[in-house]
Amino acid sequence: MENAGYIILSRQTALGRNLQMLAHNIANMNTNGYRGERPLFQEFLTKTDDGQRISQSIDRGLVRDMTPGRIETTDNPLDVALSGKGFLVVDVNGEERYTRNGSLRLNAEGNIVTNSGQAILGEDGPINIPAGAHSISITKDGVIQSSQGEHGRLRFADFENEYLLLKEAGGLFKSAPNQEVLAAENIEVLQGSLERSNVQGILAMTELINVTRAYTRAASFAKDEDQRQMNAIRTISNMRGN
Amino acid sequence: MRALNIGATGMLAQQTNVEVISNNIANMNTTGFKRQRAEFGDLLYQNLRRSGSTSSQEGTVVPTGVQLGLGVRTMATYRITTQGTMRITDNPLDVALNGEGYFSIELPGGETGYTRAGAFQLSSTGTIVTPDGYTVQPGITVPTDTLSISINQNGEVSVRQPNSTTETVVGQLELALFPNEAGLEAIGSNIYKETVASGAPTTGAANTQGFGTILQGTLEASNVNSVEEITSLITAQRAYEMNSKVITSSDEMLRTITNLR
Repeated sequence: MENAGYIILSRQTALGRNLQMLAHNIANMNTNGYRGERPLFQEFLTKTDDGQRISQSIDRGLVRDMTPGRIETTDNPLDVALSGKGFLVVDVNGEERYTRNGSLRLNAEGNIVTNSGQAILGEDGPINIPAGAHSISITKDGVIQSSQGEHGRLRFADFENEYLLLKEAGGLFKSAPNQEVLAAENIEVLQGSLERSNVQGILAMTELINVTRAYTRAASFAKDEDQRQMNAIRTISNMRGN
Repeated sequence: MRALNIGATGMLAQQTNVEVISNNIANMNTTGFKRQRAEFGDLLYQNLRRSGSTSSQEGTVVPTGVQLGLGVRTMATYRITTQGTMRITDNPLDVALNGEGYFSIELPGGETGYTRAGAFQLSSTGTIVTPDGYTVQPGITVPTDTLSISINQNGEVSVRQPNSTTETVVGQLELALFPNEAGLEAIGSNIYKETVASGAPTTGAANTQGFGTILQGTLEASNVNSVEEITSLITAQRAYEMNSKVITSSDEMLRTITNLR
């Protein structure tokens, strides 16, 4: 009897989460290396007692947009943008995390770190720039040089299925359990550039309108359903009265 | 409705962005000013449905799961220490640094400050000081009967006195180099202070290993690029507007719910 109400509820709950995802994308429109996401809706079939099948809506998973963000020139020697599939490797308390945010800097010891101070891993561990070295240059294949010679090469990680990666705060990705970390091939480093967020303002705005409208539609459907039930109750009770 | 709060974090972040950009624009003509940029990072994620969890009795696995983010925060304001453009002033006590390094100055409390703004002056006693009157290290005093002052590329200050055909060296400017100059703390008046993040300074003379050269009669202008700042300002403002639309939309959806009954 109340199935229609539950179907609308399933739609509205999913839309609520959809809005949250959109809001998060828009909030991160200027976050370097950010990857946008959208929900993946699916029909969810339930059986009723009388054998009918009812289809509800569920946001079963999410689709992460892994297309590269726009690349902006900054001319800052420690800004790197990656061109091609792959990630920089970050050391977070002994565990590896992966990022596309190439806004790097030096810490007090001269190690190359992310903007939250976590060490960037080279092929032989953290990369150190000795004191007094200047004119840092990073070649296309990730070799870091300065006035005092070579200091190591950046490590690039790649995954067969990037969609399995889990997101963590601060633009970091974590590999899923048992996910194999490969060495990235065909990746190029662009020094003096940054990869910005891949969220497209216009698409996000139209999606926002869609979600709001779908929500209103679902609500008006809920209202109609409420009206229908009220009518039914009234008609039935009138029948008894006669 | 978490989207309301997420929109708010977005607006706050963009507000910081606009503040940083406006400070850059305000200091476009400040000698030795280094522009800053705001950097953002995404906030925590909620795992509503973990990827890898089973989705049916047959054992099929959710490939991606549902992770909901909670917004954005300002991670850092990063100082970009690229070289500013050189402006010729022909004033003998204006010096610019071409390359790495900072002039050391003695702050009133006895602490050492660092600056790139080389618009120096003479105090009443003939000492080379900053426009605020702080002594430039190591404290060089110019004799009162000086005819002309010259500062060479290595930072050697020499003077010419009456009845003398040669120049007398009166001192050498001291420079400091930091492992991470972006980590210095700006205390205003173009002065920076050493922090844990910047690392300890190595002092030395100009034109030696790692240090830049000194140009007399020149000032280093700010490294603010007006075109770049204005475009960043436009992006920041648009992002701010879009985040406000998120808030309006969430509000509209909340109103829809309230109007249900």
